[in-house]
Amino acid sequence: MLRPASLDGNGRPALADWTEASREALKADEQHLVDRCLAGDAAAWEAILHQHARRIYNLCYRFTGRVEDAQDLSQEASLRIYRNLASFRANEGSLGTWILSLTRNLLIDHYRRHKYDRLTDSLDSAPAGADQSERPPELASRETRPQEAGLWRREVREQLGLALQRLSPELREAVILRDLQDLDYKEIAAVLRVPEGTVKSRINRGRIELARLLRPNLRGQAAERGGGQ
Amino acid sequence: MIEPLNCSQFEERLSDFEEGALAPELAAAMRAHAQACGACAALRQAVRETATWLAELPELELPPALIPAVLARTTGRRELVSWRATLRSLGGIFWQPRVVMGFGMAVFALAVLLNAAGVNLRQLRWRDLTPRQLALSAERGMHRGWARGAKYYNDLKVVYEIQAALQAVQRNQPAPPAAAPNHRNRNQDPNAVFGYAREFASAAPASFSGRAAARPRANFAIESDLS
Repeated sequence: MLRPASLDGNGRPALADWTEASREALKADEQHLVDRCLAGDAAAWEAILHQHARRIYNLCYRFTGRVEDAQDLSQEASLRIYRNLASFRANEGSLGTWILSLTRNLLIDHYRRHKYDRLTDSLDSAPAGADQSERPPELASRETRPQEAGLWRREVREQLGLALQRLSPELREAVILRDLQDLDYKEIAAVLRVPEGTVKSRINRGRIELARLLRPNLRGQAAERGGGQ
Repeated sequence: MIEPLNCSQFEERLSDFEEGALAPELAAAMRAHAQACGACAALRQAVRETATWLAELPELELPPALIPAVLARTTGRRELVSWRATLRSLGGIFWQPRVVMGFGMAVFALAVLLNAAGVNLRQLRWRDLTPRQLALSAERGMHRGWARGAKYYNDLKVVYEIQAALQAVQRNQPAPPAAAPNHRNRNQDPNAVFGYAREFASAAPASFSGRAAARPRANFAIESDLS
């Protein structure tokens, strides 16, 4: 039984201790769930799946941008998680972080395997000398179409999805984990196995690159001032 | 006192600045640079917008088949799914604009076909759906369609004109040629039109041809003219 280390003025445990205690309890619960699963308890594995499958699927979809790929990769990631459950250690991080880390490794493997395909695809589809084909079309400003809010939102989502696919995998995964999966810097550092400073830098560069992809006129301004400052 | 920032330094600290993670002095230097540099101010605005759009991206629903597929390949256990959940997932698949539009078009096409076949759904009774009744109504529809087609053909102005011209030719030329009309030279042979009429009549289904023979019709007067 975990006991809070200190009490506040009213004789109740301090908030920080409660947080720490609940974190420890969560770790113990997760390790227990994994142990049950390793002992052959199918219900425990089902519980883990129900708890994390949606997050895995969303990460796969945002990373690949394709529903079919996301479904296949989610299934593959789940199988990989099931086979590697014995390597989970609750004291090294949460189950969610560990699962995202395995999924992310799978996504990077997938990216590397299909890098050549994508390169040849883009070469096949690019018209000769069409530099614009590298960028998604610029979004119209919100003010130009106030009466089409639904269409506007849909268009923004589509363009954002396309722009995400154009980021390098390092920047893409950092932005997805931070801005779409709501992980904090420490968790992202654990998933990506890089220092927090690197995580912050990648997220910052990823956001700026996304903004420039969505607003191509910013590129010109960046190029203009590039030499000067 | 912090020195004024350049554009690269501004970019490097932009996310921290937007998240309020910078020391007050550095945040003041960022604000000062954004006021002085239009490009960096525009970049800051674009990054803010992008962050808003990212936050608005919806979380996707899990495909219903994913967990059962994983369970089948791991523990081999099949997830128990209630019939309500199954119906709900099916509803999600079918309740899409293109599926609804396709279904509407199919209903419309069926209604047109039933209307053309003379089927009135309001007067439809169970005994009309027996195989014998269905066969009879199909045959009736076929005869009706054939008769309409033949009538339409005979009512064509061009056919009528050709018939009239041929009758005039026959009146002026009492001895008809003995040879059968050559199909290759139909256009030159005035009797070729009768050849078409014969083919048209012989193309009718056997049952109809029998009835046509039993019930002489005005539509086939062209045949009687031949004889």
